[in-house]
Amino acid sequence: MKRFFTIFLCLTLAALLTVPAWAAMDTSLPRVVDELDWLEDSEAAELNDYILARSEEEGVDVGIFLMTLMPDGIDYPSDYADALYARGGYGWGDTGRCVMLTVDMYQGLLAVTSYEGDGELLTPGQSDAVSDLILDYINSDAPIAGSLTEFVDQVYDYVAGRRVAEEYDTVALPDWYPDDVASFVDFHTAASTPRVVDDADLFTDGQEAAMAVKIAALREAYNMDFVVYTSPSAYGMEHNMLAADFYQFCGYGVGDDFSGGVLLICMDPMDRGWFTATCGRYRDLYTSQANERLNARLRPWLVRGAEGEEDAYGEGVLQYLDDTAAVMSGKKVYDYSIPGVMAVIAFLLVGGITVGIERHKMKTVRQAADAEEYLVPGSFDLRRHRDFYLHSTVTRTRRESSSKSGGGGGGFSSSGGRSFGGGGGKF
Amino acid sequence: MNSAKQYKCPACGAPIGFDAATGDVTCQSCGNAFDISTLETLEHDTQSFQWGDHLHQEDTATMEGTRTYQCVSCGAQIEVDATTAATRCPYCDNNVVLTDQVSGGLRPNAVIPFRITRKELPAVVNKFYRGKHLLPKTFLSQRKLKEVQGIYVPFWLFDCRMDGNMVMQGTRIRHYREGDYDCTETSYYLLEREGEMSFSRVPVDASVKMPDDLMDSLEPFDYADLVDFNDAYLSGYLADRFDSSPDAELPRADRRMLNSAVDVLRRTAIGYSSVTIRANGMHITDADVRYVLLPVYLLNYEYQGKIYRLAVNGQTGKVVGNLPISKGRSLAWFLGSGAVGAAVAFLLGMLLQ
Repeated sequence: MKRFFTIFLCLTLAALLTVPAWAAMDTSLPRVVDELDWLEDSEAAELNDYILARSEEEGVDVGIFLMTLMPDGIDYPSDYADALYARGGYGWGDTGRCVMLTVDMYQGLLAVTSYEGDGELLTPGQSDAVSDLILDYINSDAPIAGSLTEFVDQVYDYVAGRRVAEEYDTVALPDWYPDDVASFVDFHTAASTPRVVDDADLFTDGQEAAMAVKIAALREAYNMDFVVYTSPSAYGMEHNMLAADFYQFCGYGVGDDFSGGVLLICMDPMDRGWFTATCGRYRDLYTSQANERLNARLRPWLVRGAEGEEDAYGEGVLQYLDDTAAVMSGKKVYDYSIPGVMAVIAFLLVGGITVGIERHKMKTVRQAADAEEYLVPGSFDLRRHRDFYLHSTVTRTRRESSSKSGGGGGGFSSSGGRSFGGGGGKF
Repeated sequence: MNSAKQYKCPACGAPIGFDAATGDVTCQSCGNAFDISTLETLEHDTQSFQWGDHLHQEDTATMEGTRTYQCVSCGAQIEVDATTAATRCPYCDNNVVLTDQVSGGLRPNAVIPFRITRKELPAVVNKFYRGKHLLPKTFLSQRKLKEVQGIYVPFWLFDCRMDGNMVMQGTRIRHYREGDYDCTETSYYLLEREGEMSFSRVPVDASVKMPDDLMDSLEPFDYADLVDFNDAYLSGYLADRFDSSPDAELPRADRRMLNSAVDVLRRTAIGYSSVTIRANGMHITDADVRYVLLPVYLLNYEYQGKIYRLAVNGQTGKVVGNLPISKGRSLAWFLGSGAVGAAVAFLLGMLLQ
């Protein structure tokens, strides 16, 4: 009996050790976490049961996590999904087949991650297709519950081959990208390295020359690097990463902290936008307010350029460089000419007041309103004089922070591990 | 037939008139000058206006229409307004004082004699035009002086005591910082004030035909020059008797005094960021009035078909009146001064940017 028990224990232990962690799919874990209250409780429960039922049929686990913000220490929703998956309990079968939809409402980010063994269950095209499905629903007024069920269905359809996603070629990294990022060594470039890199061919030669002059003046005045980079493709990267990587891997920056910044204009047909990546001292100077103002003034030019207006891109960037100079000197950047506005206001005020005074002098007939000069001196007797406190009210206004924010987009790290700030937008 | 009076030179018998330059009564014929007091000895009418005397009320019916007098000098019949107290005979041009309009209960308590002479008027008025940059360029050359009248205008001078209380709400605002917040504390107070004050000789014109705002604008008069009334001061000028009672005009004075009284009480609320009047219980508790004649010149100009009236304080020389405004000059001043302001602002903006 004792021998039998020993053999049974050994076999059990051996079986447990040979089964992968994700093979133990924990059905008690929630498949639907809805911090955003997009779903009614009953809808969430129904969807949870639906996923568990379909998981058995299709052999794929699905998790949907609608979060208000990421937990401490986790930057992106894809990282959150990775962490959940790594913790165990999610993933079906020997290879832990699983697809997770994670939404970070605070950052406005959405990620679809898939797992199968050491690889990914969904192809990039399939991931994009189901991501777009959710995004379309978010951007429309349609009830989100329906889209989540459709998301689950499409995931199973793609995995089972019942539905085919349009795949696209993986874009190769740009030529300036180092072969081995991990072993990349920062270097300071020579002064002759171009500060205007117009790979998207948006500027005229004259505009490029004018930009180079302005950038040289900025560099000399503030001992920081300034670069304008246009790219025909996003190379599958986020704009902030593309800009920061370009700045780092091409060796820009002044001083030990690589102070300076790059304005990226990305003309990728699928992902058109711009981003200013800031580094070192410039990151401190490039406040959220400066970021907002610079972007607000640059965007209309880029839109006009996208609409086909000749020279608009170049003119916008030239103005952007002027605005950058203003930011550097601590001046505010406005959408209008301050002296001009002051002049117009002064013209109307001074002209109006002067004519008003002159007209007043032309009409000297007025009814008397008071009898102050007939008040007998010393006749005023104040018999009673009482002041009663009634109540107080207090209004509180949060002080505008004077600390440097490092730009509108907050901080991030380039692929090379350097810290950047900045901000941008789409057009 | 009503009584008219003409002052004649005690020396030569020619008509005499009041001379604003010397303050005496002078004879244009023999050149002799006589002190008013000399002529006063000829007059012994000690009765004068008293508030409450109903004579003026009974006389209201006679204030309308016209009255007829006989010129003492030429014997002509003179027809004048019912309120006229002094005029000129249209036939012999001699000064006539209609004594029944300024005697008994209608006799003014006092008068401020003219100090500005007719000869000084052009200089006084021309000075008034200085600095009036919007005056049409052609006004001074094309205006036609239609009429100049030196007239004693009847005024009531009210002496009043105002008493009462006032309730105000005051606020005090305090700014301070609390952590990351800017705080503004507004404290509200109820303020009670009670007191009294006196006003002396608040003038209100007692002539219906004189525009109130025009007469108000002529203030102030220097009451140091007030003298007992004598018919002789009217000689050589026009004069009207009152045709609006003190009771009818007191509200005008009351309104002015009330505004000042409120202001005085409000100024006792010291140390408040803002003060709002919630209730006002000020009122007149005691009032008296004197009937006086005050000297005014009226000048009527015609310019481009319109009549423009100027009034001159016959004592101080203060000139008031509404003048025509040139649109062209208004535009020029607007553009010119605006351009200067814009240029300065532009330069400042360049410096600040």
